[in-house]
Amino acid sequence: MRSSNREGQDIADDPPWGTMDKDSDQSPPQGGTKETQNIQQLGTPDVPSVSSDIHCLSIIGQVEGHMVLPSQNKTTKYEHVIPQLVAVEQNADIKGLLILLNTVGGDVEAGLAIAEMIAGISKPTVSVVLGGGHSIGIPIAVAANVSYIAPSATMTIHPIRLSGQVLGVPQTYEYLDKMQDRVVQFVVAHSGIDGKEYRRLMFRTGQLARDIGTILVGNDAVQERLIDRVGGIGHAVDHLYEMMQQVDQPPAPPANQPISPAGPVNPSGEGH
Amino acid sequence: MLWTIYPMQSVMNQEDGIPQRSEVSHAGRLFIVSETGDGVNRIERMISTDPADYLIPRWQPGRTLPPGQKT
Repeated sequence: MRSSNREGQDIADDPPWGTMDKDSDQSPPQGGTKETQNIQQLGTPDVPSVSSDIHCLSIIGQVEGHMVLPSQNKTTKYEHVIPQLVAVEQNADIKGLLILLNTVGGDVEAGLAIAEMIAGISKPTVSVVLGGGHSIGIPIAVAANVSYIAPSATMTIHPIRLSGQVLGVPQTYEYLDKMQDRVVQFVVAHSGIDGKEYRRLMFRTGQLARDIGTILVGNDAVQERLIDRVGGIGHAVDHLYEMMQQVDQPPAPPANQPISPAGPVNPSGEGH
Repeated sequence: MLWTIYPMQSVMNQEDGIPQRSEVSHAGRLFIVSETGDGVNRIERMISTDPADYLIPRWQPGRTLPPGQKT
């Protein structure tokens, strides 16, 4: 996957401690080499440099919101992801976005912010749910033009919950209902599932041991029309390239219709 | 509002204390870093108004900055 910098340099040319600031020290840490650094950071001595016009965004662990979570949590930081998505939209070298999800959920507003950003990207986007795409991971997964789910991946649909001080007044339930509504509306708007069906899955009892809701595994999510297709990384990348080609080479109009000046082709995928 | 399948006590259980964070300037950008204990600064957050900076892998949260950076 490709990364670009302000100076137009290929990131692979930069040493791990290299900077664009000419006054800074570019030497690796004491006793370290580039290979050592690569092993520490990535588990492999050689990181292949591949030029690609796809940007890959990973949504992993907890989606961290307004509060920093304790360090044992793996987190996706929305304050980095959101401007990164701005860069993806702006960068002319990036023609498509692949979103990989393996998340247990997280902050509702941060998750919805990321989901809305993905939905607003004008370039082709494809998401793949791998492992898990639970709770707030669902809006993020369906926000892409086309969504895939691996056969063994799971998605938990369950009600949102409140932590901290809870007031025993009817307004608490109304607030929760309103928060739940905003999520349900987003999911329904960006997938093929019906609102009533989504709520039925969300309020189901008897399936989760200590919660209310439903677990969908792979094809179940496609059957419920929450996710578009079952597939893995190969299917998702192929589909993304097809969509990118459609943007580059829009289909010719039928022969008996006049050709009118047209704007950019909307790379809308199937299912929405 | 944390919406997750993990129990809250697993998510919020802070075993190793709250790391000290500080601000450092590096390559013209502002970073919020936490010290890892051997003098190396671990990036918690980058603050930049240039979206292209957020595509640079070595400035992602979790990476480390060269030692000796100052505010």
